[in-house]
Amino acid sequence: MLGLNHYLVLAALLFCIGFIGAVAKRNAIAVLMGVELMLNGVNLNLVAFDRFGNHAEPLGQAFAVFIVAVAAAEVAVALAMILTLYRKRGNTNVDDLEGLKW
Amino acid sequence: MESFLFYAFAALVVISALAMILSRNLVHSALYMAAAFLGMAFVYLLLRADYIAVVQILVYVGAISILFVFGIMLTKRDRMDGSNGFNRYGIIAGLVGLALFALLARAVTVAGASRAAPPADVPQAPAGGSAVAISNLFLGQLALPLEASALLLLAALAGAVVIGKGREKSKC
Repeated sequence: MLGLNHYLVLAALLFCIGFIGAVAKRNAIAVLMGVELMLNGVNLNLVAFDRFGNHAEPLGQAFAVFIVAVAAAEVAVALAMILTLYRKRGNTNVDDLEGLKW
Repeated sequence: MESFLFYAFAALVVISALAMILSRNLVHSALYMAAAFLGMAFVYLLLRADYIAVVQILVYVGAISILFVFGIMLTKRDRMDGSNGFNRYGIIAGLVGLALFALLARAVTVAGASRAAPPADVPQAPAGGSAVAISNLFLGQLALPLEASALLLLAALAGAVVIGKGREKSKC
């Protein structure tokens, strides 16, 4: 029988894989992909708690929709930043980005 | 049957996510990410969250993956082999990620949440699935947060244009 635990462990696994991707990758676009994966893991948590909790209104699912909207906004702005970075630097390697201003 | 489907889709999600992390080719990474998002949509369906599953396919598989492919296309145009290596913190990040997963998994199992049985399929589930209840929530109790998120999307739209084009060029 499937319990809440199954979904929570899957969400934790997804979050940690996303974390490794966000921290360990060299390309800024790959870092962004890792962040997306982390957000998806959090969303799964919210929907799972909504399903296994006992309440009339699907507030957890509504919250997940907000997270999807914020993630979309975040990807648009971050990709614009990466494009600007590429135009100024010629690559998107996060190891090279050591200053806060250039 | 439901457990079998859960394990199948969870395996799809986890294998795609790992392939996304480990792939040396950025375009392959983007495709694996789309596959992971698609698997997540099926997991949402198992949780009876049909609206979220459709939103997941529309926004993540449809829009965000395409946006990533466009980003790759606009930044890197030579050969893609080895375009997606690990940085100098690769090993430490892997260890921290594994430790974090061990901690979270232990916390979840110790809490013993699996004893909570899922509520039976709601008998009063309205025709039209979860979309009806969610839209009632959005147009009632959550109307103000919904407007705020609309404002956020507008600000992100304008911000992406200004950041992407440069400040001088985007003045009109």
